[in-house]
Amino acid sequence: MSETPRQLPSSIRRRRGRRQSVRRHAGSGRGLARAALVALILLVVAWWASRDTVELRTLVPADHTYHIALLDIVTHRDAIIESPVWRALPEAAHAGRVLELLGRDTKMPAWVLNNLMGELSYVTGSDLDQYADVVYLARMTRVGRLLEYLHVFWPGIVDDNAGGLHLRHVEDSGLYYAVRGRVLLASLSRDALIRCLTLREDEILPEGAFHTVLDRSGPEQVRGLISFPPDTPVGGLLRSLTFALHIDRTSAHMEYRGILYESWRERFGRLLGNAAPRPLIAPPPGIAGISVDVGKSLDEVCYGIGEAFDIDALREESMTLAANPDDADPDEPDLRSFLAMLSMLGPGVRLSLQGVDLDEFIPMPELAGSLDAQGALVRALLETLRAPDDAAPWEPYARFDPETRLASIPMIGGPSLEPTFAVYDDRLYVSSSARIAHEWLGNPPSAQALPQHGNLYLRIEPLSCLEAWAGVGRELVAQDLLKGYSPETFDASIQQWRARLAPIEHIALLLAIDRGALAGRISVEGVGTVQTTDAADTTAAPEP
Amino acid sequence: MQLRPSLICAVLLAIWPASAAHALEAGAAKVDITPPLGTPLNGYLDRWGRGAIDVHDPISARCLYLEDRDAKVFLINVDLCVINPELRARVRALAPGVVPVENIILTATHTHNAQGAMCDGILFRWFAGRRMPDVLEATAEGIAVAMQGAYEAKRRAAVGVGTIEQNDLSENRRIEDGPRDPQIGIVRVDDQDGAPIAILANFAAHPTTVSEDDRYTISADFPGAFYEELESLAPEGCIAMFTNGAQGDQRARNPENRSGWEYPASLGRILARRVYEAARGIKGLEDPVRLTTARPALPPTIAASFLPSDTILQCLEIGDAVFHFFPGEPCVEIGLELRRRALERGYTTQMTVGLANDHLFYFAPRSWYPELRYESAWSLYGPAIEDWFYAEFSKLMSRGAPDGSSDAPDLPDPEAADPVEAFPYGYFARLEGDPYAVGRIRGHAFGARIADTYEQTVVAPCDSGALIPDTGLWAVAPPFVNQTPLALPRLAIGARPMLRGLPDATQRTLEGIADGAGLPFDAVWLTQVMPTYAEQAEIDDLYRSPFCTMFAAVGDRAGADRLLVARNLDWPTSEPVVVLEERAEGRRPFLQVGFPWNVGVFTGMNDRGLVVAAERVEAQGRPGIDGPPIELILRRVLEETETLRDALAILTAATHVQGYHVMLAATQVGAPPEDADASPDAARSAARDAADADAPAPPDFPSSGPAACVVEFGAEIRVRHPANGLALGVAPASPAADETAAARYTRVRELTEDNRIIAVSRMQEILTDRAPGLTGRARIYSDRTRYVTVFVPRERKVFVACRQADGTLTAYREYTIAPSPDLPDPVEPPDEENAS
Repeated sequence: MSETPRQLPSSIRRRRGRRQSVRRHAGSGRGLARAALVALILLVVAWWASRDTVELRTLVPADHTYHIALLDIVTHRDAIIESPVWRALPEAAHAGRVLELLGRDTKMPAWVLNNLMGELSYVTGSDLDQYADVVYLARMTRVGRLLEYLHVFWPGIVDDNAGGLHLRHVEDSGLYYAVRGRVLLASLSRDALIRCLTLREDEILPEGAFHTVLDRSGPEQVRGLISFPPDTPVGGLLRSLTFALHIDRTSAHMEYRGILYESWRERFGRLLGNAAPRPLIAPPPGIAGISVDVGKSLDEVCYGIGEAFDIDALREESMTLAANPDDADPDEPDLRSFLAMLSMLGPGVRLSLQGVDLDEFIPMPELAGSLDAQGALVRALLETLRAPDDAAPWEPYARFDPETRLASIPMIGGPSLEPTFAVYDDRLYVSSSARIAHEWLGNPPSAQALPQHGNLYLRIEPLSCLEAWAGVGRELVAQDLLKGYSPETFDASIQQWRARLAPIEHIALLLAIDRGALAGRISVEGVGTVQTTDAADTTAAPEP
Repeated sequence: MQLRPSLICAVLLAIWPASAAHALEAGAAKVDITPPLGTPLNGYLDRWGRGAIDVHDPISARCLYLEDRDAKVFLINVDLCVINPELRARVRALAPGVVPVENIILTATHTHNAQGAMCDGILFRWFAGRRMPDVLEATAEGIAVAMQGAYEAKRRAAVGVGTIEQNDLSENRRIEDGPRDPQIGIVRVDDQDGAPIAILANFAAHPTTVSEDDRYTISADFPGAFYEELESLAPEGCIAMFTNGAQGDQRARNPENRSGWEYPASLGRILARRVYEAARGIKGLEDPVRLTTARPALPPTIAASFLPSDTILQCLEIGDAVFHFFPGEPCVEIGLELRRRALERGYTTQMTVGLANDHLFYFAPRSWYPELRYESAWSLYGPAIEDWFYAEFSKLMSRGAPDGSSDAPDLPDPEAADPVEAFPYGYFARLEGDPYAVGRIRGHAFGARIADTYEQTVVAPCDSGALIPDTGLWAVAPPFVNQTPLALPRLAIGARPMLRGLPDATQRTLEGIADGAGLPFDAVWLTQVMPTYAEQAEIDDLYRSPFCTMFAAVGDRAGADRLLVARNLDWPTSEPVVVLEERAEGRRPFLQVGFPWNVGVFTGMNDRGLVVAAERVEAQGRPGIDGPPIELILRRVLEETETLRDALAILTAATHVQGYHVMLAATQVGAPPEDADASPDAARSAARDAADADAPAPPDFPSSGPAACVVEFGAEIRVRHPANGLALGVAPASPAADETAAARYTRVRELTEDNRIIAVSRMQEILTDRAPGLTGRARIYSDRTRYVTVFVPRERKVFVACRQADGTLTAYREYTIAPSPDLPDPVEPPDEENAS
């Protein structure tokens, strides 16, 4: 066609002008309709293109050892990052790495990220050592799905046909991902990703197990199921562990339930057989404390430990034999009295670390606690304690002071190295320090029941424990007795730890033994939310 | 007669300066500082920090204040076991500000039944018990109150000093009838009316007379009884004072044979009566008082983690009397020697006061250092600490030595002439002077390398736990505890008995090396003994002693040289080789091929052509540690002997040695002992090599001319003679030869079989043999061979080649040791007949 402009006669130009004017008036209505139609079509196409055609579960291998569901993680991302829980975790837990990942600037607007991650994220894999096969799955929103279509405009993302599986490869990060329906799958391992995309029906995670992981029982943001192979360190003890984790700005709580291997049930049979959650008394106030009650007297606990850990000296046969030697002197305190005493003690035992006496002969932890006891019998037994007539006052014989009604054993050093005992009501109060025993004289700490039942309760104030250790460390480092530190490097190290632990008020663990399972709750409380323990129910994620 | 006022003024003016110069003022006071029950008592480790349960007599702080024109002094005695730094600091802080703190002399009586509880350091709490800040504060306040009281009580005074002798109140607690200090020093301070302000006794004995049953009872011990008795004898207001002397090895006797509390009471009473009686005869004078205080750097200590690097020394002069204050417990030998030196300087009286201002444990004389006695074990600043005190106190005394000499040692200036000459992969040095100077120059020249060897062979295995015992408290210490600072002194103390039998000259050389290198003596000594120590423990063979190859050709086999000794040394670590020619005064010069740190001799020859070389032979047992390591015995052989028989006498007397073979070769055999049957070599059985059983029975050593033998230190000491003119370090077929040694020496024998005469060059070839069929230590020249030497004793010459980085040898360097000019040279001229 020629590019020469055509000249039309004026009459023709007029006719055309009128036609166009009419067309313009009628066309504004039609144009809108047409646009609406296009939009509708686009909407339909988008609706169709972003429909949820693939169930996330069908992309999860059943034989993976861990399954972790992140529920609405985007909403809680900031709260999670600010939580003190990360500071409480040891270096080995790679908490810093998790924080880095969560806090990383993705260079995407938050709304894009939210739509891509959707309301459900799921992490799964088998390698509990290197986490080399971890696969991340997310159910995107429709918007997220549509946004993903725009990946072609995103530099650095290339198609990877993968035998028709249509993966995409983010070259910068080495990440592979694929989309099925509205499910986004991503992994650093191409093989792991491909496997998820090519599961046979019988390789897919069963629906029941999937819902075990997924179905919320409370406000938790993370739920998980881990099956431990027997050849792993934890796997020697636990077959599986389910947990539900809730993290907010000031605290974190994890409910858990672990299933013991049968071999361990047998091994701990004597110690923990028939154990069931029991009412627990809080340990005396201190910087760390423990309360234990497995429903058995202490002699039974000793025998149980002897069998569980194969300690000959603690087995019932050995102890009974040792307690009844042929040449026993009836006047000498012997193992029989000790065993008799043990049988009168329990089942509840509480112990707390009050601090460390840095001035003692050697820096000495000060421990104090109480034991359930057959009060009258134990009191009577204590009153019989006396040293031989020719014993010097400092010789380490247990003796009873009728004036204070305290029994004590002189040891080396000063008062913080003098185990002392007293009976008040139906409890035997014990202390490694005579000083504490005298403080408690006649007025021991009141017994406060914990709100939950269980068999073991642990509570620790990390900052206070750190300060106690810092004191010991300074005593040692002053004479070059602390390996690897000079006074300067030690102080710097303590300062770092102090900064890390300052936001944490305490960490508590509750454990209950119930029908071959260990269940309970771990809480990390930040400063300002002081609670001895939470009153929430201890129902963990159900056993798969 | 009427004196004119102007004349009176003139007379007064004339006499004023003289009297004003000695216008002595003095005051004294005492304060009860008895601690509360429950306070741990200081002094006995086996109290384990338990608290006191009773009080027998009070604990007090007693202070004498002296002031004249030139000096203001607080002399304080406290009934404590020691003056620890925490207490000293607190007393200085609380002291009345009327005198400089340096003029406070704080001494402890050393009672073992007074409060501890004042030490911060964890280690010291094992003696002193738990830390009780209240007790520290109360004690320091009590002392300060006593000081204030003494100051406020000051008045015009006269002071007199005297001594009496005793023979029944103290004795040496380590050596029966051993040295003791018979002197009781007395200081009497009177006011202008002649009334005694204070009477002080200085007496050297441990106040440890309280019985075992009363171990947890508070008491000042016999000084408490002394105070009580003396104050009852003296006019009212007289303060009794007691300072202990050079009591390190002195204990109190029991002259009236009393028991229980009567023992300290009786002793204190007797002492008080004698002192008071003598004090009555002492005339008080307005003698000038002079106090000098110094804070010199101490010699380095292996216990540097818990002992200071400097200390307070004080010297108080009152007229012609001088008092030396020691920051710990000097043994009496040191006190007596210091007295002798002071009297030589013109002082009429000398008193040593121990336990002043600090407690650096014991100070034992040099002669005690090798002995595993309590006092010497806790003497942690080296054997030369006594010399250090003599030198430092000489600087503080106002009177010089009569001959103008100084007690400070005349140290060589190591910078003056650098004796070290470097060659590829090694050094040569000629060291001359007295044994100490020789060591000091060597220490200075190789200090960094010696320190490095110490770090690698001693400190590192302590850090890694290899040298930490796995018993007792060592085993239960938590893993975060650094045990090295504790293990090092423990190792050092354990190694000291190996100094026994070492010539004084060698020990002086070691002291010189330590000083020259700036290292603790114990560190240098531990480095020496580590090859032997390492054999005792299953630790890395990095620290093990040498496995070598050595053989000698004797007589015709050596041709005209008549005697040749070939020797290479296999050593686990690669270190520069040092060829040292030591020419210490009074010792025979010798030439040693070794390393920078080793004072002992693994390979060497003296100026008489006597050659020694040692080889570790595992099958013969582990080296003993009841005497010096073999290499130090070989050093002694070189320094003290000329002939093979003399050398053998020293070697065969070293019955503690096991696990070594020593090649001994000499140009002179020496005269046989008169009682030949009783001679050591005969007694130890001159054994023939089992492998040479078919050889003709070897004669005893030839009557003259060169000879060689191998001394085998196994379960018994055997002397093996050469077979066919060849002496091998290990006989291949003997039980002493393990598989590798048998292969190595079999190879030597093969290589020498066809040589009727084995010349130097052939020996050099053999020493570098790397037979393809053999590996590792079975090779003569192995991967660990560090140097190769061939000795030509007749010419006092040695050829040395070192291993290079690529495993090959450097060219041979030739060294000749000149005979000592002041001694005749017995080396015979070449025998023409044999030479032909």
